[in-house]
Amino acid sequence: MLKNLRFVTAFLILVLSLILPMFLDEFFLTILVQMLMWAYLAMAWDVIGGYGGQFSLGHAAFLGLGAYTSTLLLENYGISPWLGMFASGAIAAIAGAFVGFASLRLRGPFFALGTIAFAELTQLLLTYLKDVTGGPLGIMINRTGIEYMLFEKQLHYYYLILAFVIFGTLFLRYFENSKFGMALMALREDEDAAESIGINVYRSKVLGATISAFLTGLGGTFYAQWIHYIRPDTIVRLDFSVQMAAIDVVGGAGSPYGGIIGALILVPISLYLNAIFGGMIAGLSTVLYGIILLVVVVTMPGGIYGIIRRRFPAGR
Amino acid sequence: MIEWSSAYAQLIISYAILGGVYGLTALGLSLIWGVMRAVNWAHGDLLMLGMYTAYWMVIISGVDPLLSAIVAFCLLGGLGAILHLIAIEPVIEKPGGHEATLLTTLGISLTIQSIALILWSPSPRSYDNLYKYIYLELAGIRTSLAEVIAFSLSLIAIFSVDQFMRRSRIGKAIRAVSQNPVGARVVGIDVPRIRLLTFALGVGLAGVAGVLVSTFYPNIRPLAGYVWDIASYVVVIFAGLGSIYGVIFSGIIIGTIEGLGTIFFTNAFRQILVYFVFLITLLVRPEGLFGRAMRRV
Repeated sequence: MLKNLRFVTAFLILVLSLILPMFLDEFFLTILVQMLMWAYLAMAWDVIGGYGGQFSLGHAAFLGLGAYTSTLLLENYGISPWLGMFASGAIAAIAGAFVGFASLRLRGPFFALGTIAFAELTQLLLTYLKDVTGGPLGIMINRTGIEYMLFEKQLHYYYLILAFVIFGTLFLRYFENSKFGMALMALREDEDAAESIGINVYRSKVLGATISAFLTGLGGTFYAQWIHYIRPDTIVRLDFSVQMAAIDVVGGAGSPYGGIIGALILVPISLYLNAIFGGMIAGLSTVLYGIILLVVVVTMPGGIYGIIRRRFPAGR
Repeated sequence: MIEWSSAYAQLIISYAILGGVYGLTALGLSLIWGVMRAVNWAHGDLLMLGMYTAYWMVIISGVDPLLSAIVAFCLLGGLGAILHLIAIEPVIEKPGGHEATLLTTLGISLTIQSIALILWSPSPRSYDNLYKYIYLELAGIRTSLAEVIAFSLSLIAIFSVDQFMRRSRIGKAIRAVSQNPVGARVVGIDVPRIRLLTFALGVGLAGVAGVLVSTFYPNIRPLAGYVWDIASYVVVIFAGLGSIYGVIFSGIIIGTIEGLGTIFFTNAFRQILVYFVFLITLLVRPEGLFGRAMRRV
């Protein structure tokens, strides 16, 4: 009975999310696209950040590497981002493997700091290697066409990112019940105990970070094609890394729905605050955003999904 | 040829002196981290508040900027106590609390930056002081008196903190908590109170560092903290936990590396080099150059 109910709810949500946007104007669609993009990125972060417990604050590096890879392939060789995004994923995955490797030696805050430094280094290198990346001026994408993943209407971007999010959710649902996902969760709880029952901590961490970075790299391609313009300091930035983590933490880390819940709540709040206060008093919206983040981290360790799960124990 | 090499020497010495000040900027951070494993991401912003304290003291009352170091120490120490109660104490003992401090202090960092932006606008300021315009020259190498004073006071501050840690009752309690929080509690030390004091002390030191930096740094602005944040973190990681004198050495080393970076590469490459050193140190020697082995957090 309960299972049927949940299936019907999921089906209704899916149908609504497919049909409803057709009746919305471009403005609302832009907001929806942003929400879904951040939901997807938070889910990608969740693989290593939530399930793996490796608190990365450098995921903007993977986002940036992904965005630059597919954009450079498109602008220099005319390779469509539909293909290029897999190259993006691959490049980001290589970087992710490096970060995963680093997480073997660094624990807790050391790891978080290391990933921040890694992202800063990526940003500086993207800026420094002018000949390849265009340096601080960035790259403008001037084409249009569905074959280049460049659409005229927000609605099309909406469907594309919705597909990303659905894929992300299904992947996480599969992932958390897979042997590998469980190994990752086990080492999050207690690394030494996990090792003692035969989990290969080394392999799990590196692979977890690789998958997480791969998914973020795909997101980077979407971001570039949606924004049409990339620049090292507007994409590889600490607040993007933090936003991925924050959305996931607020929504509920280590769950397939945490990213969506967090994005549905935090993205509109931050957009709204920016719209109201951004023009008048620069920075006031950031204050409130910072306070929200602080309150949630202090008072709700399991995030919002954690509360829902406690309220309705049968909810999974 | 001679001129070139002396220009290089000049550059390296300047950066080494700057590195000594990095040491002081990192000292508060190192204390907070060493005692409670908390990451204070707002450190640079608190330092920025120290710069503004000096600025406003000079503008309003015209006192010597170095005197405002005392005021900044008290003001920021008080602020540090408040921030500790808001952002550190509620999360520090929870699982994952060490990472949570990174997030909560990040929230505080954003808050401080934004309030500063609202109050003081983003444009950079600087104030005039005597020290800036007096130059000392030794063997053809010139430095401004302001930098020499900042460097010397950094050494004195680090020495005093070390003595405080060794000799005073509170200092001993702080060291006990940093070495073994559970054991410290068993012997009757009020661990939360020690944490509060340590955080207040660390933030107060950030304020002093800010004042000293402001005497020669021409860029007092709300977002100035970030530059010093990174420098401080690199120094702390490089020095290692629980090493008070280590911060001054590693500060000077980092400063010298920056100097060498500008000589052999370009100015833009300087930062890349610093991050590179940072990551390599983290990976190869997470306990730092001068720290004791402390892998588990």
